[in-house]
Formats: sequence, structure tokens, C-alpha cells
Amino acid sequence: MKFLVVDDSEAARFMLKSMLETLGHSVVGEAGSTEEAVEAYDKYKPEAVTLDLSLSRGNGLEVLKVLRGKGAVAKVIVISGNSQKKVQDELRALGASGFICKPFNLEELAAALKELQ
Amino acid sequence: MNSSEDIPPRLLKILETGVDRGAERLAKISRTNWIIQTVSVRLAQMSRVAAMAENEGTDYGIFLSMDGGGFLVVFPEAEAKAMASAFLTQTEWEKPGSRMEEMALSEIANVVANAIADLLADACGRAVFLAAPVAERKKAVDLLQELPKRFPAAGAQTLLVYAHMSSSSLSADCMVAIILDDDWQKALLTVAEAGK
Repeated sequence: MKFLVVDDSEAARFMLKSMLETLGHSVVGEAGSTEEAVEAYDKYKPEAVTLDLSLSRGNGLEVLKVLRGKGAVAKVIVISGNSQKKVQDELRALGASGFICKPFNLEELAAALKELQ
Repeated sequence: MNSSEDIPPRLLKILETGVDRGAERLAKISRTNWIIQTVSVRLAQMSRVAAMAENEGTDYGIFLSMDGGGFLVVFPEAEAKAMASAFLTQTEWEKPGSRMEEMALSEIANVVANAIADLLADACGRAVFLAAPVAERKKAVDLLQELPKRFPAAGAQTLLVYAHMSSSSLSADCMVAIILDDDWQKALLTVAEAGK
């Protein structure tokens, strides 16, 4: 699958890109803020998005709202240290396909991606 | 663990559980056990928090703000590389001038702080988003002195949760300060009263 990786941390993006490629996927774009995420989505039209909730401007929930508002159909897997019940309920209502709580390892990512496909 | 006696036991339990979860996530990142050596919870004057500094050397301090407060997670500089390496595992990032060490520590702090924020938010039925981490390299006393400026919403008197954790196999320490404003204090006290 072609992924867009959205995370404010360059270190986290670096790790996630490496893990996704190890699992046979490609990363077509990266973003660290709400605006960058929406722009990158429009530019790269990914099949799936990994979405962190803490971003350098705004948060992942806002990104998902904007993307769904634009009719985006990509699968969205939320990868975040934030696992609050209220937040997860809202993400589910917006059609998030999966959740991974940071920190995570390659096996956990592989299992979540298997659910996604 | 040392705890302030004037904090309701249920509230103390919520905060200590949050710190426990932070330590669990730290253990998963570093693949080594972390011992919580101290948790103190107190109503503190923001102007006096700098007196809690223990380390004389330079530290990495990572500030994470949220509505009504925030977190300061501190790692001593001497141990920061081991922590960052444990997190990243790959070696390609080690290039001259790389900010990856600081970024890795910011991400570790983010994961630890979120573990605590999750528990506070769920206890109060709130949704909380931590802002992106901001890292500084300074002495602990200087980092603590920045708290009033970084978290102005917390006011003059704040609920300050101070936790000190260590990992003997990694020879590393981690200090977490949690700043909560009046609104948070009232919400948590309500939860504490309801759970009596």
C-alpha cells in the first residue's frame, strides 16, 4: 500500500517509514502539521494514512475531520501515545480504521496493517 | 514512594497510577525496567518549583503543554544518547549535526506524558491533546524556572506532581513534573470525592 505518514516527530517518521518499507509498503509522503498533512494528502493521494494525534500545529483529529470533509476515502490508522476513550470514540466515528498505541514494535504494526487490508 | 499527606488518597492514586503507566511505556521503549523512586504531589508556588532540581549537570528538558497545564520530562544529558539509541535502534541516524537525539528524546517524553495525560483525561471524562514537544538543553534548575513561562495558565499556585524514575541497567534517570491548573484540580478532586 502507498502510505502518507503524519507525525510531528522526524524521529518517529523515520522509524515508521523504515518499518512500513520493511513490511513491503511504500511511503509516498510525510507531514508534521495539520496543514502539511492535508496538502500532502491532496498531492500524493495515498491509499492509507498513519496519523499521529500530537502535531506541531493542530492535532490528528482535526486532520481526520478535514480529510473526511473533503471526501477522502483512504484508510487511516492512528498511531499515537494518546489512547483516551473520548478521543478514540470520536476517531472511530470519523472512520479511523485502526489504532496503535505508542510505543509499538514491528510485529504490532504488522498485525494492525493486516487488519487494515 | 513519598506522597504529600494533604492530597486526597484517591487523587493520589490516580496520579501515581499515571506515573506507573508512564514508567511502563518507558520500559517498553528502552527494553529495561524503570523503578519509580519518588512521587510527590503538592500544591506548590510556581515561583518555588526550581528548588526541586536535583541534578547539577546539563539536562534535556522536554515541555509538553495541554489545556490547563502541561508536562516537563527531564533526562540527564550524559544518559540521553543511550535513551535515544534504545528508542531508535537503527544506527543510520548517527551523523554529525544530527538533531535525531533531541527528536528521539522528545518522542520518548511525548509517549511518557501521554500515558499520564490519558489517565487524567479518562478519569475526568475529558479529551486532551498534548502539543508537540519542545526540547531545551539546560540545567535542571533553569528548566524548572521556565515552568511559569511555559504554562502561564497554571497560575501562581499549581498542583505539582513530581516523579523520579531510574533504570539501573541503562544507568539512566527520568524526572517528570506535571502542572495542573485550578480547573484540573477541581475536576480531579470531584473524581476523588466520588470514588471515596
